[in-house]
Amino acid sequence: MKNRKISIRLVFPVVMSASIAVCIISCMLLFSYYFSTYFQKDAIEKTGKQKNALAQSLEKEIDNMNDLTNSIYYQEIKEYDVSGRLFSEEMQQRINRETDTIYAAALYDANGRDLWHSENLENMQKEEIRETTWFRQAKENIETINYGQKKLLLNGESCYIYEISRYVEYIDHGSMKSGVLLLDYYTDSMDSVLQHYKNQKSAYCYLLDADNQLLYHPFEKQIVSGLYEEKTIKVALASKNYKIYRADGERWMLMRQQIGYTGWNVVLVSSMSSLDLENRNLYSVAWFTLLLVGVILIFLDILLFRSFTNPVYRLLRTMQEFGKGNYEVKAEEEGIGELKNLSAHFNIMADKLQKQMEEIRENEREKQKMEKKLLQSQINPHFLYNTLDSIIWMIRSEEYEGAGEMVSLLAKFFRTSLSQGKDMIPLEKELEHATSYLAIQNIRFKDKFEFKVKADPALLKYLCPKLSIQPLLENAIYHGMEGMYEDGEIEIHIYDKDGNIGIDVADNGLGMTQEKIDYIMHNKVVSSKRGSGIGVRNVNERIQLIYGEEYGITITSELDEGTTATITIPKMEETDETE
Amino acid sequence: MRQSRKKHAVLILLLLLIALVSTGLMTKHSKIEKRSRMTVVFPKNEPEDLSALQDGIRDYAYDHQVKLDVWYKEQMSAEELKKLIKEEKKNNSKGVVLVYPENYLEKQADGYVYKDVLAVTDRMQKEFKYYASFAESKEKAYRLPVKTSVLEQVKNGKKKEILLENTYKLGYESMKMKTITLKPVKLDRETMESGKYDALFAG
Repeated sequence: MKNRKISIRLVFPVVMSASIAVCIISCMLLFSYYFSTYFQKDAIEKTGKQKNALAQSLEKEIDNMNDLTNSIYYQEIKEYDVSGRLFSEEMQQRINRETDTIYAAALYDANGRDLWHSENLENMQKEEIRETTWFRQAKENIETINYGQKKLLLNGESCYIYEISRYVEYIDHGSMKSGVLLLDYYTDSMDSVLQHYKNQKSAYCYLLDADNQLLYHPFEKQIVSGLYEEKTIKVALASKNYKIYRADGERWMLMRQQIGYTGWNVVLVSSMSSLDLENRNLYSVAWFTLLLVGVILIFLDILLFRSFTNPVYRLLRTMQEFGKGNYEVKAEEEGIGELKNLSAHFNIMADKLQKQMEEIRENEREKQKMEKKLLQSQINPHFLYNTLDSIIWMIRSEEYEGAGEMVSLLAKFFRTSLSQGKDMIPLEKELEHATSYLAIQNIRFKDKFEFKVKADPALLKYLCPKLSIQPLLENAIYHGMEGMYEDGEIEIHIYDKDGNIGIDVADNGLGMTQEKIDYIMHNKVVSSKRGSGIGVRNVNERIQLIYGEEYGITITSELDEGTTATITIPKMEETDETE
Repeated sequence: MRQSRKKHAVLILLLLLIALVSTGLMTKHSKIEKRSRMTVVFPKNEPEDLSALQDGIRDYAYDHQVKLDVWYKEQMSAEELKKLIKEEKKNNSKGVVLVYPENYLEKQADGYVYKDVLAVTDRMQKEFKYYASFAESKEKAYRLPVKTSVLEQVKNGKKKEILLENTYKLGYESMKMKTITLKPVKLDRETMESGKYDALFAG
C-alpha cells in the first residue's frame, strides 16, 4: 500500500463539506418529520372539529324528527280516539302541513292491523307489517324512537325516506291500547347536511345505520356500479376517536361519531397522502432552501478554506525556496489576520537572517583580507632586515659601490612591493621585483649563484599576486644553494601552461625529499626562519584564496639534482576593478 | 488542489441536482393533474335521456381532476373530427370520447377505423378501435334512468325481471379510454326490495 501524504487542502474541505451535507440532510429529515407530525396533528384537529360540527347538525335534524314524532303522538294520537272521524281528519291535516319533511304516516295496532294511514301510503297486510323491521323495533323498544332503514320511494320522483317508528298508546273506543306509529321521513334534510361536507375521493363522509348499512355515501352510485369500494367501515367502527391506516398504498384518517341514541354513525374519511401532496409545495420550498443553504455553505467553506490555505501554501513554497538558498525570496503578505502576520514575521526573520549572512560574508572577506595582509607582512621584515644588514656590512667594509647598487636595487624592490597598495600587479613588475631580489641576494652571497630569467613576453601583461615569486626564490637560495660554494644556478621561467601561466623557479641545489616537500606545503610552520618554507606556503595559500583550489604551487625535487617550484595562475588582465 | 476543486464541483452539482429533482418530482404531480383535459362530444339531438351517462362522465372527471371540453354536434364529417382531434391534442387533451357518434358522425366509406378516440356506441363498434358499449341481449334492456313505472312493475311483480343497462357505469368507464363491453344486470322484485340498486334510481 502506498504511503500517500494527505493534504489538509483535501481533507478539511471534504470533511467540512461532508459535515455540512450531513447537517443539511439531518435538518431536512427533522424538518420533514416535524412538518409531517404538525400537518397530521392539524388535520386531526380540523377534521375533529368538522366531525363535531357535522354530528351537531345531524343531531339537530334528528331532534327535529323526534320533535315531529312526539308532537304527532302527543297532539294527535293521544288526544283523539282513533275510532272517531276527528282523528283521521286531524292526522291528515297534520300530514298535509308537514309534506316538506314527511312523505306519509300510519298507525298500527300491536298486531300490525292498520288503524289509520295517510292517503299516499298503500295498504299492507298485517302479516307483512309484522315482518317489517321498523314494526319489530318499535315493539321491542317501547321507550325510544326507532330509526329504521332508508327506503327508495317510487312515487314519480324516486326519492329516499327514513322509516321512523315508535311505540304509542292510543285511545280506541275510550280505552287505551298500544300500537306503532310509522313516519316516512324524507332524507333530504339529512342528506343536505352531509352533502355540505367536501365530498371528494380524498375527503368525504358517510352515514351508517344501526345495522352498519349505508344511509348516505357520496359515491353510492359508484359503489352500486362496482366502481368504488368502501373499505373503511370495519376499521372506522372499530376505532374510538380516530384511526390512521394504510390501504392501497395510501394513508387514510378515519373519524367516527355516533349520532345521539339513533345508533347511527357518521364517518369522516381523509386521505393523509393527499394532505402530504397538498403540502408538497411547502416541502419543496423548504427543501430547496435547505439545499441552497447547503450549497452556499459548502461554497463559502471552500472560499474560506482557500483563503486560509493559499497563503499557507505560498508561505510554504517561499520557505522551500529560502531553504534552497534563495535568500532574496519574500513571502506575499496576504491572508486573514494571523496568516498575514505569519508571512510578515517570516519576511522579518528572512531579512534578519539575510543581514546576518551578509555580515558573516563581509566578516569572512575582511578576515581573508586580513590574512593576505598578514601573509604579505610576514615576507617583508626578514628580507629588509637581512638586506639592510648586508648594506651595513658593505659600508663598514668600504664596499661603497656594492652598497650603492644594493640600495638602488632595494629601492627598486620596495617600489614594486608597494605598487600603490595593489595586491595584484602585472607579471612584468613581479618579474622585475624578483630580479631585484635575486640581484640583491647575489650581491649579498658574493656571486655564490647565477640566475637566469626566461619569460614569454606575451604573458607579462597578465596580473599575478604581488610578491608571489620572491618567496620561492628565497626558498631556492636558502635551501637549494645551501652547502654549494660555486656553480649554483637559479632559473625563473615564465611560460604558457595549458592556457594558464606557469612560473617555474628552478635551482640545481641539493634537492629535497618528498617528506620535506610535504612538510613545507602542508604542515603548519610557526617559525619565520629563512627557508623554513613558510613563505612558499603563504604564497600558495594566497594564490588559492584569490583564484581557487585548482591553482597554487607545486614542488618537484630530486636529490643532488635540484628543485623546481611551479606557480600556476590563470591569465587575468588588468581592469579598473582589479585592486 | 485541482482534484479537491473537482470533488467540490461534483458535490455542489449533486446537491443542486437533488434539489432540482426533488422539487421537480414534488411539483410534477399537481402539474400533471392540472394539465389533464378530456374532450367529450355529445349528440345534439339525442332522443334518449343521457343524464346517467353524463353523470358517469362528470363523476370520473371530478374524481380524477380532469377538465372536460364538451361539444354538442348535430353533424360531423370525418374531416371535422380529424380537425377536432388535432385541436384538442394541441390543448393537451388526454383523449376524445364520442357519445353515440352514430347520431352525428358520417360513416367512412372506405371502412377507416378511428384510432385516437373512444366511442360510446351501440352500432359503430367496427368503426372505432376503442369503444364502450353494452353486450347485446335477446330481451329488451332498460337503460338508466329507468322510468319509475317500470320499476314499480318489477317491485309489485307485474314484471318478473328486467335487464338493466348501467349507463352511469358506461359513462364512467368510457373515460378510461379503453374498450369495454358491459353486461346488463338482472333486476327482479327481490333485488328491488333489497335496495341494492336504489342509488341508481334515486333522483
